[in-house]
Amino acid sequence: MKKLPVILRDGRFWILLLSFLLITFLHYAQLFLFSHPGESSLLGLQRHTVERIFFLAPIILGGVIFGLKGGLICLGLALAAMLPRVFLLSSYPRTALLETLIVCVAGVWASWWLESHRREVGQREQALLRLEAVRKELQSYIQSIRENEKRLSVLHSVTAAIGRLIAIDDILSAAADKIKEAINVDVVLVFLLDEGSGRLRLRTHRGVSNEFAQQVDGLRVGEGFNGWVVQTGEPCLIEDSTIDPRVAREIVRKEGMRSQYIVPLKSRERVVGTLCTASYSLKEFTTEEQELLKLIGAELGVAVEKAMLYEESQRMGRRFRELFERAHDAIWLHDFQGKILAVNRAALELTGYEPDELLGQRVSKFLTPKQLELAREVRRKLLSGEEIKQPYEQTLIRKDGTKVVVMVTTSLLTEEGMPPAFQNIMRDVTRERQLQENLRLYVRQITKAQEEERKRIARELHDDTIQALVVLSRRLDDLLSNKPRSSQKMLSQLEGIRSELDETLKRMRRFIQDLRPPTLEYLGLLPALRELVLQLNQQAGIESVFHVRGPERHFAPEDEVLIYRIVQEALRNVWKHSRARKAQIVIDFGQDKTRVMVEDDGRGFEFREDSGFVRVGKIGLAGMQERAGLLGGQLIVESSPGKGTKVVLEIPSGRLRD
Amino acid sequence: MVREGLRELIRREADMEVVGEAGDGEETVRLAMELKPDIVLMDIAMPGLNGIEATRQIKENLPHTCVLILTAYDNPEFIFAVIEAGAAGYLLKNIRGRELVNAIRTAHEGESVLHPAIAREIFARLRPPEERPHQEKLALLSERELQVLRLGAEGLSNKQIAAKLSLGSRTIQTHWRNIFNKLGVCSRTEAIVYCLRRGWLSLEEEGSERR
Repeated sequence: MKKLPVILRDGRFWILLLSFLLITFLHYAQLFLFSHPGESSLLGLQRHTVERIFFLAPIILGGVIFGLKGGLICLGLALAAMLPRVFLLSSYPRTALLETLIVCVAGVWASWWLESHRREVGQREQALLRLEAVRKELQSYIQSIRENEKRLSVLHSVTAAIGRLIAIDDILSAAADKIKEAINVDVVLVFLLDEGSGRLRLRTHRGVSNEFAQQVDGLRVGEGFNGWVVQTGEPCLIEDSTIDPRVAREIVRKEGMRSQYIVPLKSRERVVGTLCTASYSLKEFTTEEQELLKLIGAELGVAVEKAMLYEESQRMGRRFRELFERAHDAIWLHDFQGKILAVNRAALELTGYEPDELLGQRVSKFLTPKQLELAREVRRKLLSGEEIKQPYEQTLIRKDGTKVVVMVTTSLLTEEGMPPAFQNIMRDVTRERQLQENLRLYVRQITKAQEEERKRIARELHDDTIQALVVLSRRLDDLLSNKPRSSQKMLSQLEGIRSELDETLKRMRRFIQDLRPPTLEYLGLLPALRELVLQLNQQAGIESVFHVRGPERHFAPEDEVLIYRIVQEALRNVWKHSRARKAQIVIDFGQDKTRVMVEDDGRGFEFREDSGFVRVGKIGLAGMQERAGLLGGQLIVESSPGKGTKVVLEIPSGRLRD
Repeated sequence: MVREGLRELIRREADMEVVGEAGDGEETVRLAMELKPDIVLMDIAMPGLNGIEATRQIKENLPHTCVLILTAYDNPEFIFAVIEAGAAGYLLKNIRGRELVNAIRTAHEGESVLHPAIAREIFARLRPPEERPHQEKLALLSERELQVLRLGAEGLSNKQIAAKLSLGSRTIQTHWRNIFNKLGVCSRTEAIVYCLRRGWLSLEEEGSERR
């Protein structure tokens, strides 16, 4: 019912009402105007039929105007208007009723048809509207796709242009040209940040005078728009430079730039420079253009960074090449087959060859089969990842046939894009080796001379001093046996001298024992060692045992002295320093080496293999090690505080005399 | 000088005579072979062949010659080595003249010239051989002789052995003489060493194998 005012305001409603009232009046006009004018006909239809058909008009009109509901209301009203005549006035009420009903049915049908027709039309219109909306949407999509495509193609052309290039300036030039072409600007400037000075260097410019270029080169971070962009890392838009109050530089105005857009060049979130675009006329930088420039800025930043790294690596490469060439150590590279790939000056000097005599040749050129075996062993271990002691000693044969002893460090080079190779760094130690050998020889001579001297003194003491003392004591015996001729006092004095003589002899024996144990000289190593162990038992009170394993073998006398001295020193340490209660001395005559082991349960000491014995004040151990070296063997010391000490001497079986 | 003193010392004894003197090992061996003396007095430290080797060579050729070592060294290893080489005794050079001639005489009689304690120690160190003793050889010695040997090895003197076995000391001396002849040695020390080395005699039941 709220619709009612709307309906009342509609003029068509009033027309409908008027036509309805007119037709109703006509329907009953016979009552008021004229008494039945008789049966006239119109188009072959009876007058009453026509009058009833007239009612279709308001019904249809109602249907047209107000839809099915309006039609039905009009139909109801028409029926109400027609029924009184049917029942009260008609002389043929039956026919009248039929006609009325037919008119009603026709009215209902007409109303329904109209309604459905109208609905159909409405639907069609809506569909058309929707279609139009979809079309518009589609068009806008296509538009944006085209724009994106354009941006992408610009970006792509920039990327493609810079991707092919390696040098920074080439990259920037190519990018500037592409940008100038793709985005309608007059000026393109690219600044790069110089990390060292903190200034912006103008690396590329398009569309500006040289004077301008000179003026803006070397901006500080934070100075000018470009400096600001570097500082903040944000893009900057200047709509009109001529009126922008931020423009402080006269040169910008003089150059006549108006609109500017500046983006940072970024690589991994770090600003490396700026890209500045400008035009001499007012130009609106669209959102798309701004986005595009930002993308190019990022792309360019990465490219610049890469190029910088490349330049750096090139520089490093040159520097390494220099280092390689000028190194004091000899360096050569060879591949898996032993083919020499590179040699430096020092390597040439070391081997005495010319470059073309070595490059492409095999390393076997200056290695004997035995040394080649060592080289192969190193190669095998390097490839299998086994540990090797580096540097190791190797001997090379020079061009003139002489030999050089070198300490070599070999490493496997596996660089991308390069065939794997072995790098050898060598230091000539021939002279050092010679000195070492001389020193060793000298030590050997000294040790030998020392032993000789000791032996000589011991001999002299035995053959001379002791004999003399024995003769003396024999004379005293004679005096003592002639009792009757001597006074009692004299006798006791002689007895005193005699026992003093005995003491002196004892001391002499000990002295000889220390100088050069006669046991070692006349009985050999084992009895001499047994004697040492006995001394440790009896004099030091350390419970010591001596074991011999394997069949007894013999060394040369001078070697036995060395072994004896080492054990003597070890036992002296046990005695003087270890505070041990028990000790064990074992000599083991093995197949390929003889091991002499001295082990105690004493307090031990802090010991590190790498620090030399002399440096840590273990002079005794240093002497033992030196002697072990003279034996061609080695001395192994194992000790830690509270854990006792174990000294092992290993002598290769090659030293055995039998 | 020492030799001079010794010569003088021995010359004074009525029952002894110096038949030869040598200055080194080789000469000693050669002279001993030539003269076949009862007793050889020998130093260890000699030029060339040392006293131990010389003793071994002399004993190989002249089993009935007694070698007495007279040396300046008192190392136990030496005592062991010379006894093993076949020496009958070991004397230090500063021994009194009287003791020396007594020792020579004792050695000649076949008695031990070693201090009993030292003798025991040495016998204890002599290890019997791996292989089993030769029974035939063992049968060489009588049961009584073996008893005498064993007691001797323990360091008992003839008198003590005689008392222990309720025999006269002369009888014991006769036993020793027989043992020496049978084994081809000249001193009781040698006889004991000889038997110990062949495993005919063992000191284990006396508990001397302590380590």
